[in-house]
Amino acid sequence: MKFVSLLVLVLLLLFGVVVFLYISNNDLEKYDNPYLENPIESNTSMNLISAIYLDYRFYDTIFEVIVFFVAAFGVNMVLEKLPDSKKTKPSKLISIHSEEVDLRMEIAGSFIFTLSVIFSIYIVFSGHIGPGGGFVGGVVAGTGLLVLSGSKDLNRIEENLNSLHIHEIEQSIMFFIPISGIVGLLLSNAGFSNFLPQTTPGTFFSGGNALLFNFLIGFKVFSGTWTILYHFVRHRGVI
Amino acid sequence: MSQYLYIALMFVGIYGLLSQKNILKMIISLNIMELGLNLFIISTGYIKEAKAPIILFGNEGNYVDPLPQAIVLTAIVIGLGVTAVALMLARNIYKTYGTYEIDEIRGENDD
Repeated sequence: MKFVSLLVLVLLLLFGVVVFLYISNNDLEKYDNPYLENPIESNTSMNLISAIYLDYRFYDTIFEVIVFFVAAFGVNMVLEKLPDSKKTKPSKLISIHSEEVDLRMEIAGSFIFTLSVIFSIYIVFSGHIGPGGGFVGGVVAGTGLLVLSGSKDLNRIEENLNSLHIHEIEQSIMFFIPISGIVGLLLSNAGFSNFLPQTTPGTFFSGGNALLFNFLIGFKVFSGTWTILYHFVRHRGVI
Repeated sequence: MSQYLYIALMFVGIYGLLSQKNILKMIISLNIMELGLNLFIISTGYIKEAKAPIILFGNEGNYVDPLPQAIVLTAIVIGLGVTAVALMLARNIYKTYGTYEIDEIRGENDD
């Protein structure tokens, strides 16, 4: 036991020395990034971060989306079999199995939900022009749906989403991304090459495939966030 | 210089992971560690007097390195997934053993 703690201490000290040398030798005046010779001409996206994670390093993003999908799927698979927690106190803010809804939440919930959906659509479709993108927009819409559950029954929202086949559409998005790679391969000579128009930077149809991928990722993150939040709200109050 | 602060935040997280015995506190420590690491990665791309890498604001040719920020965007989403799965496992442990303290978790035939 003493040997293990000594080993951990030595490893942490080595790590600290490496970090110290890195920080003291790092001159933060310039950087070499071969992608960014002329990013506006090559990608036509105003948001350079979007240009990197939706074009230059898209494989990274694909596996990131797969990891998020697996996490949401695992939470859904395990927690839907568990019964609701018995210790749950009735809450005025979020209604489950109850007809009593707080009046403030009934008015504010629908209003905030509408606002958040409009805002999320805006930042999903302008992710290549300014700040925003699919991940942020999906999280905003999923959280807005949670606020809506203040004015409606949580399980009824889930039933409505199931009747709209939201989860089936979400799972089929995993097949759209390879399809878009194959389309890019057919229209050009490389997989995942841009096949959407790359016009003047700053307009709606710029940035190539960033528009399509932002929409797909936004929908997927919205559905995954809602799945996770729904199951966590159902099992609240056990801490 | 603020990079030392981010590394210190990461070590706070590591200390919490090693010393706490409550599963929820361990998950919080994991998040603190991840936050310090993300801040450190972002700070490696910092350039003096440069602006955000979005050319919307008329800062063409004078922006910080966007590559660490794109990597950290990936890391944030994966951290969200890891936290969700960890909380799900904690809920499952609570259902099986009735406690969140890892000291009190014992198997049937443990002796």
